[in-house]
Amino acid sequence: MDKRIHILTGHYGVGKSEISVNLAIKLAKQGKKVLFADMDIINPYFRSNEARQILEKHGITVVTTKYANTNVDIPALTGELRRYLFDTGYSIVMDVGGDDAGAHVVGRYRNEIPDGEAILYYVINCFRPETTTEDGVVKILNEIRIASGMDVDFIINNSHLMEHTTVSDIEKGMEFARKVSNTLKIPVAFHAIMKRDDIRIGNDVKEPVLWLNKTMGLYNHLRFSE
Amino acid sequence: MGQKLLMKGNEAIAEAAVRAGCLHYFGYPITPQTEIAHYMARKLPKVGGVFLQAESEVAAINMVYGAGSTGTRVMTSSSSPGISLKQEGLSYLAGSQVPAVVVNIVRGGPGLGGIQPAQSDYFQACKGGGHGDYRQIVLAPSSVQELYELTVEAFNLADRYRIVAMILGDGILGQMMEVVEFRDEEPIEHYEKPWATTGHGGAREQNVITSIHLSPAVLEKMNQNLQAKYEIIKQKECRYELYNHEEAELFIVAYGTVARIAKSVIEMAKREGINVGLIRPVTLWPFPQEAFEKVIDRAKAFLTVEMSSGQMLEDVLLAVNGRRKVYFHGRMGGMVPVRDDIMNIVRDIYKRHVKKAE
Repeated sequence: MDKRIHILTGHYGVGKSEISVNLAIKLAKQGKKVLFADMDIINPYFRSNEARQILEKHGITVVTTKYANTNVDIPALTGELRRYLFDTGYSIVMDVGGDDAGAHVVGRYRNEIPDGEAILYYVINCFRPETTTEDGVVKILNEIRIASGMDVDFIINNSHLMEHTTVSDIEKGMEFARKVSNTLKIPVAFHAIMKRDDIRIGNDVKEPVLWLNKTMGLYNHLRFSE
Repeated sequence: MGQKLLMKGNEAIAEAAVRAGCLHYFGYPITPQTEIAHYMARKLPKVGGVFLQAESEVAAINMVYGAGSTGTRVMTSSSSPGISLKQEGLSYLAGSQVPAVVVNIVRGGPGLGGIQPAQSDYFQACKGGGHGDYRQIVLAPSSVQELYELTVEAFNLADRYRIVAMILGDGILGQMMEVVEFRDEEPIEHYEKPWATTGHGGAREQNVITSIHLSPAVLEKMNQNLQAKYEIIKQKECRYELYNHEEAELFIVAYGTVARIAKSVIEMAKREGINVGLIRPVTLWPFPQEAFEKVIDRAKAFLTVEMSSGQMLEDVLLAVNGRRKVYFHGRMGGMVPVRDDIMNIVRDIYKRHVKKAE
């Protein structure tokens, strides 16, 4: 966790961006100079500008893919990231697009990422349809390994059902993450849990917990619940 | 109900199709619905089905025509410009009475337009985008849960009536993530398909799937049969939701994504002492006239809200038939109606039609 470059990969829709933003803010609060690199070339659709505003409020520098937020569906990277990779003054959080297709971006920069300075995380959510089983998680992890040319250092458990998440769902997610971790011999870096008044967890959780603040509020006025 | 999963709307459609027994998917990628193809590509081979990315939308819809002719469950999906390309095929499917499910995750037009959500394909979906006197059943889900449930239902309806059933969503519904609770077992209806081209080994008459009838008398008869079928569908298959309707004197009419915004407006209005109801058509064709008859005696006015220039508005006007004033608010090109804007219009209508009368 004390490395300079944090790369977040995973199946799409597991919550990589939300965790990336929260992780960047956490690093900034520790007094680090932080760069947030939005390298998602898979889904430039409906991306929120709100997260950028929150990041910049915390003094975080943001670089994005070339056509992010333009509605132009072209997976073009930016050249900007490169110089920060060599600048040891910066802590970097790289939010990468989903699946192996998204992880190809990591492969693109692999030779420019200084040796021993990066951690590759693999984010899981056991409530996403293609990662409800250990086999599903391992399959996508292996595809990401090949595409990125890097090994996964840590698992981040982000198992949730958005506002419908119950404490029992969280416990189920933790158990699932431990099982996967045990099979793959890859440690769980932390469990990510969205802050909510009615969500409490016991002191017996072995792994660290990152409490998330909601930063990616897309179309909040549509989130009408009866 | 069973397993709960966190899903994108597009994934829910694809999963629903597989659960409904869809074995064939033909399509060509286009934002904002490509996740459907992606999901089908992963899933269909595992259940003994076929996923095929066609060379174009025109090819895809004709593959649907072919697969549907054999009586197996088949689906294609696209977004507005791609659905335009499929119109000839949809007309042929209608003429030959081949069941199929077609998904349109609508984006802003006309032309290539943009990739943001819209409801501007209502005319095309409900009034016949292709040529000839034909109809298709059009279902308008409003949540990811409903995308799942109505997609399963679309396959049943398609088989029941030998008709195309279309899911009309928009870019928001396709892309948004919500929790879906799946049934342990899907309510799949099985129909005999004696018309299907399944091979007969000389044991029966040859089945011919065609829409060509060169004798006008025969073609007219075929059309009359189609119209008779459409009448039955109108009688039996209208679906709608009435929300907060029991005391309301003003009614918003909205479907899909916009109905969700309308519900937020209704809650806001309640806090100001204004009682607003919602008519949410779930089938756009057949259009649910009945919902209007249920409230017309109490209703002082209607407000139709759409992500279009006013397409469903025409059906609302026909349903109300001059009995009450009908107002309209619409956004276009991928812009989404804003709750506060609609609320301002509601206040204005309330002043004109309800407060004055008190």
